[in-house]
Amino acid sequence: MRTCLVVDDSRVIRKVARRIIEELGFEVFEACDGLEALAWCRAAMPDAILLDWHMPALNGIDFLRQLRQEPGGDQPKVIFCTVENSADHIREALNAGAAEYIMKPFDSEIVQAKFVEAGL
Amino acid sequence: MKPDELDFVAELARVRAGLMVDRDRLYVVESRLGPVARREGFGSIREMLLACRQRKDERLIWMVIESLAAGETYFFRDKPAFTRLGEEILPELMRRRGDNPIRVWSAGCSTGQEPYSLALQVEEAREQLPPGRVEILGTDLSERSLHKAQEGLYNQFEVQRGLPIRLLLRHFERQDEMWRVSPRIRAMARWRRVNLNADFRALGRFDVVFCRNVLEGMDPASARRAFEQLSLALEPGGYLVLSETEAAPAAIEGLQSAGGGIFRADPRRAAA
Repeated sequence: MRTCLVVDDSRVIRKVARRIIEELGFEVFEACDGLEALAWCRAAMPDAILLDWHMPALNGIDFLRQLRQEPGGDQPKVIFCTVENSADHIREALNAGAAEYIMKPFDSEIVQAKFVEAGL
Repeated sequence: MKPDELDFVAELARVRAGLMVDRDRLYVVESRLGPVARREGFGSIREMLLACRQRKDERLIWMVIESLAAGETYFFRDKPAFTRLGEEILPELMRRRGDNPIRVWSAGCSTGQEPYSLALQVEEAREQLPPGRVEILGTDLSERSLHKAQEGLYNQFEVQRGLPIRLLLRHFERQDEMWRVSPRIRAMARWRRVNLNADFRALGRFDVVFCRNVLEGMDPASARRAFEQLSLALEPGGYLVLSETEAAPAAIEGLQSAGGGIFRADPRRAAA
């Protein structure tokens, strides 16, 4: 089964995202910030990562840059999922290696569409 | 709404626009007519329909019909058709047509996502395509939908349904809380109100006609007539694209299925 790591400091968002992504056929794991997410990835690289931008310990963009330096860290398809919705933020995320970008708020159709766009 | 009011609306929509109103889905009809009644200052749907009957107010009658036609749409809906357009159909047409512009028609384009997706597909494939100009016409029954299409202004939900983020970044500009299609892409499309239940021969001929998820909302006889007219609007060797799940409403001589809801007019067919 394909795996997806949901990284967000909001428990509610993680819960909503988990339900949608499980429907897409993924086994879902959760992390509440970038540091915890890195620990998950070092243990086992997921196929997909849904990633918030602002989190207390290691934010999303710094996490992504670090992830890409890890052995096997180029593998997961990363989809940002954040309230940041400026063109500059989107560009920065894509330059750091994100495959897709979701602007909150989101619904199941958007998540599904973005996973398809990311080739998942 | 009472049964006779529903009958009145259904008949109006069928006769004027060939639309099929599902009488078992009264809530859909009411959810479409309610906002029109409020916008036009009526206390209820009943009052508005009474005005349609008594005043024979054509503007109001068409507002009622148009609200029933408003279909759902999103960018790159049923993507395989766009992929085939970019990789197969356009290269072939552009080689064949030389300096003549390729004419593409999105019939029943609602709020414009389909014509803009076509324009984006062309623009993205530009480097791989032979040189040439592509003109896109978006038509719909609804003035309101066309107005939005022409503005090219979409909210965050709309730009996240089907539109890859790289295309959003490349071809849209942020405007307050909305996203506007870039002037370059907007300049590729023109807009016009067209009733597919009427005679639309004056639009001329097209190399590609997209008419997806539109005929299925029409009553069978009107859908057949519209399909026949659409096939006659094709240049020889032109393509008519329905949605992948739609059956052709009629078998037409000289129009062959090319799979995936795509039909091709006989290249040897004489141009009218």
